[in-house]
Amino acid sequence: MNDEGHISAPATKTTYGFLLITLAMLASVVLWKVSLIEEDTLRRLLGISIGLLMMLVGNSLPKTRFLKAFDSTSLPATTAERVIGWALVLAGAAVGYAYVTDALSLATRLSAYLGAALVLTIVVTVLVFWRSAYKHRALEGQTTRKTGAPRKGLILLLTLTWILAGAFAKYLWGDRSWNASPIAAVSLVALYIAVIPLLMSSKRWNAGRENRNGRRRRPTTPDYGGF
Amino acid sequence: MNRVFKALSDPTRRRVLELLRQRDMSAGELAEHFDVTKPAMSAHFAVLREAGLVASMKRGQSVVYELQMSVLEDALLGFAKALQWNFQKTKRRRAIPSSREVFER
Repeated sequence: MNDEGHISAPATKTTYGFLLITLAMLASVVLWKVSLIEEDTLRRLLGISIGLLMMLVGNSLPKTRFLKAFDSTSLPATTAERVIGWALVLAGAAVGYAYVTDALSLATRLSAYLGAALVLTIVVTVLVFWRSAYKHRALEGQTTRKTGAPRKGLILLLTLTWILAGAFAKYLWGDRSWNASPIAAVSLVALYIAVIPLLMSSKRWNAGRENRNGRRRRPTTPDYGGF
Repeated sequence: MNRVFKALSDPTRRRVLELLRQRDMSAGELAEHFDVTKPAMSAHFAVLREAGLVASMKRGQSVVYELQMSVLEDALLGFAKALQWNFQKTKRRRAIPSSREVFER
């Protein structure tokens, strides 16, 4: 039986995938710095990586139930999580596809508009969710559930939104060298800070489920499905 | 991924996921929507839990189920609903040999 406040194994895989892609992004910047790849190639690689990151995070965010910690009822949270997840996955696919197939200038412009629309969607969805959650709580007099992992999921989403907002705003304002700027470096550090608690909580989750021999514990009582 | 496909292949389990999309429900509340015995429902819940599509929490005397689906799993559920996947029927059909197979034997 799952405990509240723990993330599931697929979310752990996502976290590792997330780290891998960000490391690949850093590696490609290093390759560009030592002149092994051209700037255009670097920009394409970073664009594709950002698209993949958006798809990866968007896919697993509804599974972490990151908004549910702030709401006692499930419907608005489930809807908001699905909207944000789908928006991230579709926008990520479009951004990745644009950087693979289109001319760089067109891909840059397209991804900038897509990113701006995505950030707006996320902010509006979270605000609508917040409003409906508070309204419902005030009517029902219910309390907020406080759990660990969903809050970490929310931190991850907010950090990603912040990075995307910074990156795409820079694109929109015409500065296309954001990837080599200090903003990118600071954003990546912020991402790691957001990801590390996720990794630690997932390790705890796995440790709790395994015995000394590393095998999964069997339930001591028969499982009747909760009847 | 195989577990997810297995979980989505049954119409009852797909209906459970749709019900959980509306709100969290206890095992009893979910069972009220189906003409299935409680042990059979328990088996369905176990398959869904193993696939990681739902999470269960103990609240007092009852166990409450909540949806825990990624976007990919959500899309697969949509496909399964649209195409009316039912692998059990397919398996049953394969288990019964056709008249031609019987004749060839």
